[in-house]
Amino acid sequence: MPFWKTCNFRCCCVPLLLVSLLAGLTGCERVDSQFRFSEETELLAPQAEQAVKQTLVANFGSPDDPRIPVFFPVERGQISLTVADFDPEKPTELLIEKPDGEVELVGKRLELLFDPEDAFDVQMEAMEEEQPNPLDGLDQLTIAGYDAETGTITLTQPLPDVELIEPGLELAAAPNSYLAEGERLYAQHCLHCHGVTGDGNGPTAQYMEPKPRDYRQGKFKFTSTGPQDRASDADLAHILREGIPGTYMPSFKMLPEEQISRLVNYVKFLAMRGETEQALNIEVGLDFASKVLEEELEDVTDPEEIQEIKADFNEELDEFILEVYPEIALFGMLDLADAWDAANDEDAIVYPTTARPEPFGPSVADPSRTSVENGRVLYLGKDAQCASCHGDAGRGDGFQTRQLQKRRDGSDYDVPGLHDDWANPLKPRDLTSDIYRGGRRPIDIFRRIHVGIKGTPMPAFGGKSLTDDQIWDIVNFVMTLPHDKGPTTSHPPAEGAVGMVGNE
Amino acid sequence: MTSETPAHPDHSTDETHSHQAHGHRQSFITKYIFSTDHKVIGIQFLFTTIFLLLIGGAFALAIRWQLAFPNTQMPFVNKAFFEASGGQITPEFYTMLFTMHGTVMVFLVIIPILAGAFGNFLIPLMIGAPDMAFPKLNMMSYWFMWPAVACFGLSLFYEGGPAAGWTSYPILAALYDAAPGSGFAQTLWLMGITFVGVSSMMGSVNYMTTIINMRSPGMTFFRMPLTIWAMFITAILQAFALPVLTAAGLMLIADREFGTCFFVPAGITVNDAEPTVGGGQPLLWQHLFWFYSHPAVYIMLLPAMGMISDMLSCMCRKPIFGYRPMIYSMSAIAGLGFIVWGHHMFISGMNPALGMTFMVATIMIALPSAIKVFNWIGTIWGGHIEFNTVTLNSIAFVSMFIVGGLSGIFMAAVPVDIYIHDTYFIVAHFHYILFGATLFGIFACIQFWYPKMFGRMMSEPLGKLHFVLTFIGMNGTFFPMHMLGIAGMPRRYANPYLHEYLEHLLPLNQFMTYSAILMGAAQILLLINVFGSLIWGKKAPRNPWNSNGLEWVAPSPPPHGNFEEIPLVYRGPYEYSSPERTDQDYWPQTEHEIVSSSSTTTA
Amino acid sequence: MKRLWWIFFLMIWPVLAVIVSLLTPQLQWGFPLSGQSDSPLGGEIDHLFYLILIITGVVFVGTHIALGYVIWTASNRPGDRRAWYTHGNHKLEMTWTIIPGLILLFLAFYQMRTWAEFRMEEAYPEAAKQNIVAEVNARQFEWRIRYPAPGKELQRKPQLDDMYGVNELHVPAGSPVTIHLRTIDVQHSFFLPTMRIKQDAVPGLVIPVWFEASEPGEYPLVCAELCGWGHYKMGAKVVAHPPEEFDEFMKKMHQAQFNDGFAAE
Repeated sequence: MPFWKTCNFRCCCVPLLLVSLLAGLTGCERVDSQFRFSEETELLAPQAEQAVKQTLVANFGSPDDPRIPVFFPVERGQISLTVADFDPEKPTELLIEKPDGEVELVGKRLELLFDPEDAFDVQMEAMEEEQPNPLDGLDQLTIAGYDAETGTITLTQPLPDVELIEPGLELAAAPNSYLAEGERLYAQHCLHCHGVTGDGNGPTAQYMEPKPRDYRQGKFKFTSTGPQDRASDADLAHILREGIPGTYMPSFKMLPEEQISRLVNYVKFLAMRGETEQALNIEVGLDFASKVLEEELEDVTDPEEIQEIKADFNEELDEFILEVYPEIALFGMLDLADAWDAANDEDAIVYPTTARPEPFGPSVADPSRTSVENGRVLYLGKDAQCASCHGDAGRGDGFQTRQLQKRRDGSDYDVPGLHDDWANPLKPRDLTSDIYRGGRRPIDIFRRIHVGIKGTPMPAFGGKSLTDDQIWDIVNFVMTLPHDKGPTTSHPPAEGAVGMVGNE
Repeated sequence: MTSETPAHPDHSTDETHSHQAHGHRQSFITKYIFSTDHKVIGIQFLFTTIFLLLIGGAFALAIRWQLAFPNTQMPFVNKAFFEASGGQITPEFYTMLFTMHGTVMVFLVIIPILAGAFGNFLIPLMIGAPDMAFPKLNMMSYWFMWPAVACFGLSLFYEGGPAAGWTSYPILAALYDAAPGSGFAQTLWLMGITFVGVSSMMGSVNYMTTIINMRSPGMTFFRMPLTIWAMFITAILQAFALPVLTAAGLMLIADREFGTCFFVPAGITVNDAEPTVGGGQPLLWQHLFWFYSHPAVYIMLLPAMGMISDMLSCMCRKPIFGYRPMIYSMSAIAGLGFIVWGHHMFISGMNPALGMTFMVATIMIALPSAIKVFNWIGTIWGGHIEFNTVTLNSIAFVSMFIVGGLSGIFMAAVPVDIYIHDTYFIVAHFHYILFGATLFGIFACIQFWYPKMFGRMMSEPLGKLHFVLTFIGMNGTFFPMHMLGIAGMPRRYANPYLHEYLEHLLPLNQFMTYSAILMGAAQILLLINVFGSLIWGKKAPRNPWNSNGLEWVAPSPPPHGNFEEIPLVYRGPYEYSSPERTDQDYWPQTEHEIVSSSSTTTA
Repeated sequence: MKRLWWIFFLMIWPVLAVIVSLLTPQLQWGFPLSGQSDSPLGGEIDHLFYLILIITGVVFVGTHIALGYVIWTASNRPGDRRAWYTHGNHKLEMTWTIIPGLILLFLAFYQMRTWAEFRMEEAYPEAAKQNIVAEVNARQFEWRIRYPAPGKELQRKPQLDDMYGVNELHVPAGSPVTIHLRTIDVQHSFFLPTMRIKQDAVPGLVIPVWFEASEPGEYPLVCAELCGWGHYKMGAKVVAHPPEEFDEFMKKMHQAQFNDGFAAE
C-alpha cells in the first residue's frame, strides 16, 4: 500500500491547521503600553487604590501620551503663549499675544497653565457648592483654528466662565513634545532593562548583576548634590555619557547632546511619577490599606459587626477621598517638584573647600604623615570605618559582608551581606579592582565619600565625621590601592599574549 | 507491469537483506513510525525537515521584521512575548532568534533534508539495493534527531534561549553569566548539537557501507550516478569532521558544567561575577568548530550538486558533461574543504601567517566549484530542454551558485575580508549558497522524486508559481545584503540604526523584509503542493521523466525491498539521446540490448 | 512564447543585479559615508575589492551569458532533433581548469602584501611601532580606553597617572598609530568601517592594531563580533586630531582627569 493512503486524513489537516492557526494569530491585538502601578498601590483599599491610580493617570498619562503637571521642573517642549483677552460670551475663542515668528498651532493640544493652588481652590469651591467641576475636560482642548492676523485661537470646545482665564494667563500649545520624544528614545535605548515604568524590571533586567536602577524612589546613586538632595540634570547626563563601569549600564556617548537631555528629562519624569505614587501610598496606606481593614476584622466574628466595621471604614474612606485626598495629592506633588527643582541649584552641588594634596606629599590633616599614609590610617580607623565593609586590604570583604543585615522594617535579610534600598544584595566596591562606578576623577571619589552613595549603605561622611582634608587623604589612599600590588586578576598576565604583542 | 501498486514480490528467500518480516501484517507503528525501511525513513526525514523549515523560516521573518521596523510591535507574537517591554522586541530575544534560525536551518533542515531525506531514499534505489546496509542504525539515525529537536526546543524556554549565535563562541557560550540564555539554555543547545552529530554519524557510516558493499551487479564505481558520488563523498566528510565537533561540544559542556577550562582564560569578569580561573584559549573553540563546520558547508552543498547534475542531465536529455571531472572536482572540494577552516578566523587573532596559507587554499577551492559550473552549462549546451519546475529550479540552482561562489572570493581574500568579515556581505554569501543553491536544489528534488516517493505527480502550475515567487523573493531579500555588507552593516545587530553611518539603510532593509515576506508566503504553495498532491496528484507511472536511473525501474512507490528482481547494470546513468538507441532518447541502466519498450515507456 | 517568457524570467535577474550594482554608489549603498576610505590602508583594501569585483563581475556576466545562450539554444531545439550526444571534452575541461586556476592564484598572491602590512609585525610602518597611543579595553557593551600620561609610554599595567575615557578614542591624524586591543569579558571586534579596519579582541590576548586616519575628524567605531544582547549598542567613535593640536589636547585631558573640583570655585 502506498504511503499516502494511510496518512490521507492527516495530510489534509496540515494546511487547514496552518491556515486556522494564522487566522487565530492575526486576532491578537497590539500590546497597549501602560505604566505599571506599584505593589503598594495594589494593596490599598479598592476606593483608595482607584483614587491613587486616577491621580497618576490624570497627571502623568501613559507612555504613549506622557504628561506631567506644569509645576514639575521638566522640560516639556511646548509652544508658550499668553492670553491677551478672553470674552466669556465667546467661549470658544481666545485672543493671544502674537508669538514671535511663525508657529503651527492648528490641530495641536492646548493647555491652560493655571496656578496649581488657585485652580485647586476653584475646584474645591465648586465641589462644596455641589456644582460640577468647571475645569473638567480642559486637558482635552484642541486648537481648531488660528488667525495669525488677529491672534485669535478657535477651540474645539467652549471654555468655562472662571476668573482664572484672564489676560496674562500662560498657555502651552503642543505640550509634552519633549516627553514624547524622550519616551521614543527611552523605548529604543533604555526600556528593555529599566522597564516601561522605570521600575528597573524590564525583560532584560533578570539576567543582570547588579540590577538596573529602579527610578521610582527618586534615588540615583552617583550625584554631585548633597546627601539629601535629588540628582541634578548634569549628574544624570554624566552617567548617560560615561556609563557605569563594572555594570551593564553602557556609555551612550554616541547620542547627540539633544537626545541625552531628552532622555534625562524622561528619566526624571519617570522618577517623579514613581515618587508621587510612593508618596501617595505612604499617605493613604497608613489608614486605608486593605491590610488595615483586615486587621480590624481579625478578631471579630459577628457578621453584623463585620458589616458595621466595613461600612465605617468605607464611609471614612469616602470622606477622606473627597475632602482630604485632593489636597494631599496636590501638595505632595508640589513638595516633590520643589525637591527636584532644588537639585539643579548651584548651591546644591558639593565642592571641596580645599585642594587635593599630592598623594605622596605631606597631609594637610596630619602633617606628620604623607597624604596616602594618613588616608590609610583614616581608612582603617574608627571615625570612617571604611574597612568594616571594604576590608582591610580594600578588597570589598569587610566583616559586614558576612553579617546578617536588617531590612527597613526591622526583619533580617535572607542572605548575609549588605543590601541596597531596593533590597538587592550589594557588594562593597573592591577598591583594588581599578573600577570606579561613579567616575574616577579625584572629585568623583571625593563626592562618593562626602555625600555617600544614595540608596546604599555607603554613608555621607562630609561635614560630619570627616573634614575635607581628611577626605582627600582617603581619596589619595584609595586611588593608589590598585597600584601597589602585582597584576590584578582583571588584567591577565602577559604570558598569555606572548607572540601577539608588539615591541614593549 | 504497468500498475502502480504492484503485488509484493516474495522476499522471504532473498538473503541480501536481513530486516524483519514485512508485508501486510505490519502494524501502523512498525510500518510508518519505527520503520526500518529506508524509504519510510527518508519520507519521515522529509516531512520533519519541511516542518522545521517552516519554523526556521518563521524565525527568519521575525528577524527581518525587527530589522525593517525596529522598536515596533511585531505582529502575531507581541502579546505573548513582549508584554513587559511595551510590545517591542527585546535585544536578547533577537539574539535568540538569529541563533535559533541558524541552528535550525543548518543542523535540522539542510543537513538532514539532503543526507537524511534524499540520501536515505535514493541511495539504495539508485545503486539497486533492497535497503540500507544497517536498517536499524538507519532508524536510529532518524530517531536521534528528535532528542536534538527536543533539546533545541526546550532551550528556547530557558532564560531567553541560547543567545551566542549558531557558532557559539566562548566566552559568551562558556560562562553562565555572559549573556541571557548562556544559562542552562546553552548547555541544552550543545546537547542538541551532540545528538544531531550522533544522528548524522549513524547516517554517514550507513551510507558509506551501503555504497561500497551493496551495489547491484554491474554497478561499478564509475557507473554510479553523481548523486551517489556526492552522497558518498559527503558521508566521508561527515565521518571525519563530525567527531571533532562532538568533542568540542562535549568540552564546552564540561567547561560550563564541570568547571574545566578548555576555552576560558584566567581573569575574565562577566556580569559582576568572580573572575575566572584557568588557562584556556577561546580560539581553540573556533579552530575545532570550524574544522567541522567548514566541511559542513560542503555537506550542505555537495549532495545538492550531485542531484542537480542528475536532474539537469535528464531534463536536457543529454549525458552529463564531464562525468569524471565532476567526480574529481567534488573530491577536490571535499579534500580542500578540510584545510580551509581558518578562513573563518582571519581577523580572530590567530597567527597572521596562517592567514596567508588559508587564503591560498580557500581561493583555490573556488576552482573545482568553477569546473562544476562550467560542466553544468556544458550539460545544457546542445540539450533538449523543457521548462518544467524541475528544470527551472535546477537552472536557478546553477545561477544562484555562481553568485554565491563568486562572492566567496571576496571573503577568501584576506585584506578584503578584514573589512567585510562579520558584515552582511557574509550573510548574503552563505544565503546564496544555502538558500539560493541548496534549497532550490531541494525544491527541484522534491518535484523530481516525488512520483517515486508517493506514486503521485506534483502539480506543475503550483510548482512553477512557487518557483517564481520564491525566486523573486529570494533575490529581493539576499542580493541587497551584499550592499548592506559593503556599507559596513555588521551582522547580528538588533538595531543597526543606532549608528549614524547605517541610518540610511532602513528603506533598503524594509524592501528586503517585504521580499522575505513574499518568499515566506510562497512556501505555503510548497506545502499545498506537497501535501495536496498526496491526494489530488495525478497517478505517477514508473518512469515519468524517462530517466535512466535504477530507481525508475522500481514501481512507484517502491514496495518493501524495492525491486521485483535484483537489477543488473550495463552502463552509466547518463546515456540520453544515444545515437545507438533510435526508438527512445534514453537508455535505462538495466537494459542490456535494445528491447521493445513495452514495459517502461510512459503511459 | 512561454519558453521566451521563462528565459526572460531567468535571465532578467542578472541584468537587474548588474544595474543595481552599478547604481549602488549613487544610491549611497556602497562604502559607508563618503565612499572613500579614510585611511591609506583602507585605500589599498578598496583597490583589492574593486579588482575582485571587476574579475568576478566579468565572470558573473560571462557565465550568465553562456547560461542564457545554452538555455536559449536548448529550448529552441526542434522536437525531432535529438540532443547533442557528448560526454564532455577533455580540452575544454583543461582550459576551464587552468585559466581560472591561474587567475585565482594571481588573486591570492596579489593580496598578500596588504595583509602583511596590516597584521605581520615585520611589515608594520615604522611610525606605527613607535606610536602606541592607547589600550582599548572592550567590555559588554562599551569601549574603555586607557591612555598613558602625556610624555609617557603605555605600560602593560595601569599606572597611577594614566588617563581614561570611554567610547571615544583620541588619536593624531596623518600618521600611523597603534592601539593595544584587549577585552575584559567576552569576544569583541574593533571595527572602523570608514578605515576598513577590523580586529577581534580575544580574551587573554593583547593584540596590537595599527591604523592611520588621513584627515582630522570623527570616525565611527563599532563592534563586529557577537558579544551578547547589547552587541549593537557598542557604538563609539575615533576622534582624529590635527597632529599639532594633539599634545595640547592630551594635556587638557590629563587636567580634566585629575580635576579635584577645587579650582572650579
